[in-house]
Formats: sequence, C-alpha cells, structure tokens
Amino acid sequence: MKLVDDVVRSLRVSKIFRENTDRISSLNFSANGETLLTSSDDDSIVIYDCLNGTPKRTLNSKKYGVDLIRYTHAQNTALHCSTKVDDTIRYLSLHDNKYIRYFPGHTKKVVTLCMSPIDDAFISGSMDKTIRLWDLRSQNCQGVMYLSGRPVAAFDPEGLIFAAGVNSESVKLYDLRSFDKGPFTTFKLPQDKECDWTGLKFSPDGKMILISTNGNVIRLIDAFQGTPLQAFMGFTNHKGIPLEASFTPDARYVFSGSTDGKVHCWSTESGVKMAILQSDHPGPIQCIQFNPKYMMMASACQNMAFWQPAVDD
Amino acid sequence: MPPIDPQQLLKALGPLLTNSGGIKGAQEASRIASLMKDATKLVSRCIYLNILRVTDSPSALEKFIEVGGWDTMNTWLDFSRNDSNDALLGEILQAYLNLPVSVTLLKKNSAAKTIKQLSKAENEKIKTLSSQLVDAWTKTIRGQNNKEESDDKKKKKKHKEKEREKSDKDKENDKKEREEKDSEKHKRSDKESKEHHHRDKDRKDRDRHKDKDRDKERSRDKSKSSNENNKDSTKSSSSSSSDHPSSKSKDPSSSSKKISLPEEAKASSSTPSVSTPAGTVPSSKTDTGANKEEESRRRPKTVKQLNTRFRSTGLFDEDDEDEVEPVKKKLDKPPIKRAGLEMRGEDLIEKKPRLQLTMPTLTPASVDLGNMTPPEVQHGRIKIIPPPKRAPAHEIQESNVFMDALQQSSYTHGPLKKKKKLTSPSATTAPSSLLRGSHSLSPPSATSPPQATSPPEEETGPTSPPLLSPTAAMAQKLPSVPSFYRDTLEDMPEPTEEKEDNVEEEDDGPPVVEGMDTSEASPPQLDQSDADISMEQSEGLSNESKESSENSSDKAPVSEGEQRVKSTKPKKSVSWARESQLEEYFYFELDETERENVNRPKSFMEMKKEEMVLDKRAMESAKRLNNDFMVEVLPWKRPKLIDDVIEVVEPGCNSQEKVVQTERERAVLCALFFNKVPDTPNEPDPDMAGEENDMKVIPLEDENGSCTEYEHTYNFDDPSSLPYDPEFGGLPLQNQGPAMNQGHMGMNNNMGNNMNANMGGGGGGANMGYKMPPALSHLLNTLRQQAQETQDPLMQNLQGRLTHVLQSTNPQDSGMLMDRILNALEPFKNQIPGLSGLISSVTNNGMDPNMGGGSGQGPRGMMGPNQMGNPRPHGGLLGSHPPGFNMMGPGNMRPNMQGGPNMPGPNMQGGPSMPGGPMMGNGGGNMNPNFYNRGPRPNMGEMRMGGPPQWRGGGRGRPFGKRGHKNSVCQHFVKKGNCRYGDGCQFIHPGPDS
Repeated sequence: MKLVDDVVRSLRVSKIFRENTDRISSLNFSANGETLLTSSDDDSIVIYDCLNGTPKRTLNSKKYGVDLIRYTHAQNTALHCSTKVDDTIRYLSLHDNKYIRYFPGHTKKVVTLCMSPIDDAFISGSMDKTIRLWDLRSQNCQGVMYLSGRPVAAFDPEGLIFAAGVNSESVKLYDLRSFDKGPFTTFKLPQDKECDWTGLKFSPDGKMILISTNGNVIRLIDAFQGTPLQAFMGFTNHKGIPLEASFTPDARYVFSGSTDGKVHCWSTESGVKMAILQSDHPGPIQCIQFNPKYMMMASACQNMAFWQPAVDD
Repeated sequence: MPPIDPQQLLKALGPLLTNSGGIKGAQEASRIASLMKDATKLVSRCIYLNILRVTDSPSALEKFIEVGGWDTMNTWLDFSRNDSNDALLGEILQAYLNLPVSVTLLKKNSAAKTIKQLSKAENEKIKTLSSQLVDAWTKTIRGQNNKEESDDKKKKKKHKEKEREKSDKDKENDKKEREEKDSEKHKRSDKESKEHHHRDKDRKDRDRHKDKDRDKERSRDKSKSSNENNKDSTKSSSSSSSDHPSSKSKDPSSSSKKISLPEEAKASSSTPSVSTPAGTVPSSKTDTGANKEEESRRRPKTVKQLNTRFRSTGLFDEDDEDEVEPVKKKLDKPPIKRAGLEMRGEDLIEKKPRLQLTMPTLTPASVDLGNMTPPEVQHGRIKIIPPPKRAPAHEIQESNVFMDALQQSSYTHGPLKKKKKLTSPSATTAPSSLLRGSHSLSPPSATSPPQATSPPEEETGPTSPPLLSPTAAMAQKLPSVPSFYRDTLEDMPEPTEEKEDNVEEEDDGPPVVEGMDTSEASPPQLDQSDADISMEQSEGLSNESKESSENSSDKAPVSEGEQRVKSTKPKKSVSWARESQLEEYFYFELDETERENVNRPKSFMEMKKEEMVLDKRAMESAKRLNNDFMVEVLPWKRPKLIDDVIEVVEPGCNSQEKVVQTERERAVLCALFFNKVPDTPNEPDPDMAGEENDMKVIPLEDENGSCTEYEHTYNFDDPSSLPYDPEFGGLPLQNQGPAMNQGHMGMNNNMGNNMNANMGGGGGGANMGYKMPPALSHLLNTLRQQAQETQDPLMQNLQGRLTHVLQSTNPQDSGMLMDRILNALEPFKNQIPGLSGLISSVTNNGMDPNMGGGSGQGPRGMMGPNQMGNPRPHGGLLGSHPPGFNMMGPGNMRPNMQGGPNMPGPNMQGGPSMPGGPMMGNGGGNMNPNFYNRGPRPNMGEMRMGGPPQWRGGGRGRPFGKRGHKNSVCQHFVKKGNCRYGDGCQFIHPGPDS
C-alpha cells in the first residue's frame, strides 16, 4: 500500500484508547512498527499492539514519573526521562519491569531525547541548557554541549550525524565520530519572535529537517544547507504548547496536531496542505507519529487514537 | 387548709357512690379519679382508698384505672412508702387488691416493683398484703399470657377469679359497711387496724379457695400426685404465712416439709453427696423462726409464680426486682421470703427446681423434643454440639415472646454456661452412655445438684402447680431453645443448691478455689472430691431424670421456669466452673450471626470513605470525558505494510546493548502482573563502572574553521504568501500566474522598503498592507525614494500627505485609494519633476508605469544598487524593463555569481530559456544576507506584492553546488572587513574589484 494523497486524506480514527488519566506526553513506535510505547503524565507507561489495535501492557513509574519515552534497540527496553525526584534519564527493561541503568547529569527537565538509529548512543537536551551525548552501556555522559538556550537534538537516519538546534535560531550538524571537534555545518535561521523550537527531526531519507515549535509554525529546512524549504502553518496552537510534527515513512508528508483536535497534513514537496483531519481529540494533540512500517498513525492527547485509511487498495 | 371532715367529704361524694360506698359506674369513676389526683390530705386519700376497696363494678374500676387512677395510686404508694406510713400503705395495698390488673397496666409504672419490694418489708401486715398482691397479680399475668396456650390455666383463672369475686364481694361489702361506719366513728388508725384484720381474714379465705381450686386444676392437669402435694403445701404455706401464725397454714406447711424430706431422702439415697446436704439443710433452717419458715414457704409460691411469669409473660420490672432484690435480701437478710425459701427449704425448693430442671431437660428429650436431648448429649460432645443449639435458640427466641428471650438470655449470660460445659468434660470421664456423659458433664457443677434436686421436684410439687401452665406453654412454644437454656438454667440452680447444701453441710469450710464463680458462696464440692460424687450423682440423676421424665412430662417445663428464677436468686458460686472455662467455644456459631452486626457499624465509615473516593473518581472522569466526543469512525483492521518506506539503515544494527538485553531476557523471567502493576520498576543493579569522567565538551563552533555556515532567512513568513491548499477554506494560494505582471512592482516595492527604511513605519509600513494597483505602488515608491534622496521639504510634505491618505483609506478599495492619492499629488504635480509623468502613467488605466513611456521619466538615479537584489525576469514584458535593470551595480552582481550568465539582460525576453527557480533560488539564498542584516524582515512587503512565486521557487530549488562551494559572500569579511580564514574561506570575499 502506498502513501498517496488520497490515502492520506482518508485517514480516520479507528481505535480510541482511554488508558490514561492524564496527558500522554510522548509516544514512540518500535522499529518494526508492531508496538507503540507511550508515556503519560499519570506516570504510566502503556504499550500498544499496533497490529491488533489493543493495549498490550501497562507499567507504572510512579516514583520517578515518565516522559519522552523511547524504544532502544532491544525489543523490550526503553529509555525515558523523569518528571520527579530528579532529571535522570532511565534505561528500563520492560521485560522484567526493572531499570537497567540510570544516566544522571541533567539538572533540569529533559526536553529532547533521541536514540541513535544504529547503535547504543543517544542524545539528550535539557532546560539546563545542555545537550548530552550518552551511550547505553555507560552511565557516564560521553559529551556535553553548553548552549545559551533551550536545546533540540536529533540523530540523522543513518546514525552518522546528529543535529543540535540552538537558541531556536541555528542548527548545528556534528559528525558522531568527531563531535568534539565542533560542528561541520551550521545553519543560521532567523529567530522566530514568538516561539521556540521544541522538536527537531530528520526526514526518513535524511534530506530534510523538520523543526517543530511551540508556536504557529513548523519549519522544514534542507538538511544540507539549512535552506528553508517550507513553513507549515494554519493549525491552531493558542496555548504555546509544544506540538509534535512527524514525517510519514516516505518523507512525503508531514503531520501535525493542534490544540483544537484537528490533525493537519502537508506535502513536503509542495508545502501544500493536504488535509485537515477531524479527530475530536478533547485535548491538544501533542503527540502524533506515523507508524514506520504499517499504514497507521497514532495521535494522542489524553486519549490515544489509532488512525487508518478508509480507502483500500 | 382546715382539717377535712371525712364525713363531709363522703357526703359530698355521695352522688358518685352506691349504697355500699363503691363507685357507681364508669363516669363516676373518672370523676373520682380526677378528685383523687388532687387529694393531698391523708384523710381524703384514705376515704378514696376505701371507696375503691368497696367498689364492685369492674367497669368502674377499669375506667378508674384508665382515667389515671393507676398512676395516682402509684404516686400515693410511693409517697406512703417514702413516708414509711405503714398504715396508709396497708390501705393502698388493699385498694390495689381490688383493682383489676393487666400486664400492660403493671408495666405502666413502678407499682408492681414497689409492691414486690414491699413484700419483703419488715411490717408483716404490709408484707402479707403485698405478697398477696404479688401472688394475685402474677396469677393474672400468667393467665393472660397462657390463655391461648393452656386451657387448663384459663379454667383455673376463671375459677379463681369467680371465686375471688364472689368471696370478695360478700366479705368486702360487709367490710365496707363496717369500715364506713368505723371511719365515721373512729380514728384512722383504728380503721386501718380493723380493716387490716378484715382483709386478712378475707385473704385467708381467698387463699384457701384458690388453693382448693388449684388443686382441682392440677388434678385435671394430670400432674403427678407428688406435685400436687407440693403445690398444696407451698400454697398453703404461703397463705399461712400471710396470716403469720395460722394453725391451718402451719399444718400444710409442716406436711409439705415432711413430704419433701422423704423425697429428698430418696433423691439423696441415689446420690449420697446430695442427700447429705438435703438432710442438713432442712434441719438448719428449721431452726430459724417459724415465721421465717412460713414466710420462706410463702416465698416459694411467689418465686414460682415469678419464674413462670417471667417465662411466659416476661414482666421486666417485676422479674428484675424480684430476682435481684430478693437475692440481695437473701444475702443480707434471711427472713426475706425468697431467701427464706432457698435458705431454709433449700432442699425442698432448690431440689424442686433442680428436679424440675433435670426433669425438663430429660423430659423434653425423652418426650419428643429432640432439642432437649441434644443439648445434654452435646454436653458430652461439648465442642461440636453447643453451637447448633444456640442457633436454634436464637431463632426461637426471636420468633417467640420477646420477654422469654430476654429472660433466657439474661440467665444464659452468666459464666455458668461455660462452667457447665467446662465441668462437663471432667465429668464425662465416667459415664458410658451419652446421657450419662451429658449429665456427667453438667454434674460436676450442675448435674450433681439436679440429681439432688430431682427428688425434691417430686417433693416440691407445690411450686410446680402454678408453674405448670407457664411451663407447658414454654414447652410448646420453645421446644428447642428452652431445652438449651434449660441446661444453662439447670446448671444455674444446681450450683446454688450445691452451695447452699455445701454451706450447710460444710459450713463454708472448704471454699473451693474454683475461679469460675466469684460469687460469695464457697463452692460446696471441690473438683476432686466432687468428681467422684458427681459421677455417681450423674448416673443416679440420669436414672432419676428418666424416671421423672416418664412420670411428669408436663411438670418438666414448669420446673425449668422455677429453676430459672431460682437460679438467678441463688448468687452462689459454681465450684465446677474451672474446667468448663477451659472450653468456650460456643461462640463459633454466634460469631457467624454476629459478624453481620459487628460489621455494620464499621462498614458505615468505610462506606463513607469509599463513596468519597468513588465520587472523586467519578468527578474526574466526568471532567475528563466531558468534552470527549471521540468516536471510532472506522472499524479496526490489521494495518497493511507501507510500500515506499525509506529505510536508510537497519535500525539498531550496531547496537551491542541489544544483544546484552537478549541475553538478559533469557536469564530473567518476564514480569507478569496479574493483579496490580507495581508502582515503580525495580531499581537497577549498582553500576560497577566508576565515575570516570571522560566527558567531552562538544564545542559550538568548529575549532578548525572548517565548519560550513549557512545563513538563511525565511522568505515566506507572511502567512498570505504561504501555500495553501485551495481545498481548505479558500485560503489564498500562492498566486503564480498574475505575479508575472506584478513582479516588477514587487521589485520596486522592495526598493522602496529598503531605501526608506529610515523613514519610519509611516509610509513604508502602511504601504505594505495595501493591495495597490501596480502603477500606484510604483508611483508611491518612486515618490518615497525621491523624498529620501532629495530631502526636499516639498517632498517631505508630499510624503506626509500620502501617508495620511494611505492610513485613512480602506486598503481594499484600490480605486478610491488611487483617486485620493492622485488628489493628494495634484498640488505637487508641477513642483516635483517627473511627478506629472508618474501620475499620468498611473492614470493610464493602471498600465505599468515602466511600460507607458515612463522609462524616460523614470527616476534613474533612484535606482540604487540594492534594488538589484531582486533581479527578476520579466517574462512577457518585452523591452519594457525598468531602467534599473540596466543599472545593475557591481556591488551586487558578483563576478563569480552563478546567476551571472543567466541574468536577465535589459533586453532579455522572458522565455523558456530562463533558468527559472534554481537560479533565482541561488540568488535569493546568497544575496539575502545583505538585506537580512539591515532589518528584521526586510522582505515582508515585497512578498505580498508578487514576489512569492519566484522566491519560493528559489527556496525550494537545489543549490547548484554542493556544500561549501563558494557561492555566497563571507559574512565576516563583509562585516569586519576581514576573515580569519583568509583565502581558505569557503565564502566569497568580495574584493573592491568585484
């Protein structure tokens, strides 16, 4: 099944889960697309079965809270940051519900966390204005970057480069092999007056970088020179909430939620808005991602919604 | 108040009274009652009392009672008692005697209690009177209660009542007449004394009648001969006691004694231990004064009656007082009737109850009430059986008369139960048969006494007769329950008897240590010594009990009732308790039934809390779901794989931790949570890796300077310039086509913005929001440039006016805007060179000013180098290029600029050969920095005016070169004049030549 305009426009909610009593703060598909991992402000971790469309398992992390949860490469391990006690990043084995390792270092809320697509490295950024580079195998930080503002960071799909967004105005690309030598490329972009960058993602083909904000605009820039390619707007975000934006697996579309329960979709090529999908999410759709393998999408406020195309081919 | 003349009063009351002095009828009775309420003087009270005594008609008396006479009498009674006015008391009591009584009435106030207490008073007159009253009342009460159950009783009562009435009427009439006369003639004291005498006589007569009647009834009832004898004796004794030293009464009492003794002897023969005390007891008590003995004999009557009453009617007040007070008095003063009975006729009385008790237990069991037998059997089995009994008992209690339940429960409450049961195990040793075992169990404490008592039963027949009716009722009503309680009851009386016996025999010599009973009396028989005896006794008892059961089935229940009453009185300690205490499990079943009750109060608060929590949750969920209208639109289907997934690498291909975890999962069991998921995952194993901090600092800038830097600006910040899908709300889509004609304007506009950046937001800013025809905007820009260049006040003035016009005009109305602007410019038309030309061009149907021959007039000088920043092809505009295009300044057109070759020449015609987006994109990308550094959003305006298509195209296009190619100006070099990278810089260092 191909992702084409008609398919994108026909996406509809086909499953709703009300497993959580509070906002779902992050979600993450497994690499094979079969399961979905979510963290919620009610301190629970819910794992969904994406093929059967059912919740699979629920774990709690009442003590430390949970946010920004990410699968690591093993099937049953995850990485998440804390909302309580401290801002340590925690490496959790879902298999036996036990933490494997803690990664202390950040002193304020962690706002960005990205796992390397190929190996055990991960990168995190915090409101303490640092970006740290880690390895799952060691609790020690591998590298730290001191910034002057809120950071965003991400690995590229090949796992060779990571990008760090600094001060909501520049993107720096580092080669993982020589990150201590400084960035090999910097894109400087005009600073948006009213909003900060809250997320940074490489497109699956690695050619574009999507920068989401807590304002009314999502920016798409070229991944090589930083050339602004598109600015996606038209969605409502009247609360200054960081709304996630995501590529489809073919990198041809970008989805974003909104605070009014609608899901917006744009074409990355033309920048044209492809669809506004009504979901009736009661809260702001802060999390939205497309399944990396399967024709389904997940969006979340307090409720989790699974989307599927209405068309069959 | 002057002293009242009794005669006067009587005269006054005359109309209300009959000839005999009694109350005429119901109406008069109410009158009298109200008068009585107000009577405070002794004289008047006595008169009223006498009137009452003489009153014959029951209706009048009932009315009197109904209207409040009962209460009045009670108050008088209390008063006189508090005053210890024995004479008045006697009068009152006599009056009471004449009043019809019912159970409800007795319960109404404390009269019954008081009289009960009075029956133990020292004054013998009062004592006899009150005891008479008590007897009479108990009879009536019994009769009322047992009417339904026992016809025999009814008959008895009827007979009694009739006889009484008759005799009373006759005698009372005489009395009254005499009394009236006496009252008139003599003092009160005299009257009273006489009255007393009369009354006594009357009573005697009555009692005799009653006794006779009873005897007859008993015979009807087929009661045993022994019972009859006993009854007769007891009753006669009571009657005799009332009369104090009446020879008649003495005879029967003595006969009863004699009878009882032999019977006791028989019983004792069966059980040696018991027999001895029986013999001693009578002797010891016989020593006491004859009066006492008589009184005590009387007592038995009352006791019996009370017992029966309690069972059947359940008069609380009377029961309590009777039981409690008599006991106390017994302790203190032997003379009290009951105490006396027990004390003196211990053998008789106690044995009687015992016998009865044992009998009932045996009888019910043997007769047909399986319940009866089981309890005893249970004694043997103690543990198992008791619980089932209780359950039925409860049921029965509930179903039956409430009073019975209360009484029974009160009896059962004592530790006695436990004692019995406790003792039972010890006793059980010898008995082979179940019955024996059961008896043996009870014997140590209870059984032995019952045996002893069993013989007395026969002897104590007197007690049984009154009891007969109640007991029979009991048996009928409560077959199972009574049996259970009987056991307890039996036990109770037994200990008491034993005590007494022991006391008498041993004289408190060997007070047994038995912790069971804290009671004063020393346990008669020690466990050890008694054990044997008890065994023997138990056997004998069982035999006797069987016999007795066979003999009298009816009497058995009666005996129970007696036993109960007596048991309560006896206060003696039960010596056998200790062992029994060891076993106390009865509560098994009780627990079950009680659990509910116990839980209720607890659950209330808990329920409250739970409800609070639930409410909270409900509120939260309601809040949350209030706006939740999410609906699943599609049915879920298994999602299909996406075909064109871009996968650059295999995810996690280099992960080592993945392997580690797989290994780990092999060794560690998966966590399964069936009920509750733990709040927090387990803590990690301590990480052995040290704190070696090899953390590297990631620099923000490239140390080597090899970093490629790109600076960009957003060309499409303005929402209106953004791409919109036409499908959505008709939002403006980028206007690609028309832009071709407006592109020129855009350029000019841009120039204007740049040039006039220092002019303030006035013209420039306002200008940006308008949709002006190209010609007009061109005009405005031209003017603005001129104004800036010339600094001419005239131009300034013109500019101000234009600004005003723009601000005050509807931006959307281009026609009006143009008119106004033209009007504003009119005055300056001739003052400013070129203005007329511009205006004319504008008015020329909106033609592009650059096309309408304006080129010659166009302000060439205005065209600064910067306007070249937006060189664009004018497709379709042949040869009508603005002059500026020919004046591309060297500053912007870098020699090495890639767009160079393709730059639209002045004469160039837009066409297919145009490089299009990519070239322009480059241009934009590389050249923008110049603008960008001058102001925050320099291009905002131009974007609107038509630039977008081109810019956007440029932005989206791929740069020609790869990263790092020298296609842009080095910012550092431009700003600072130098660059640390020198010639190595990847950016263009524009030289003066270039």
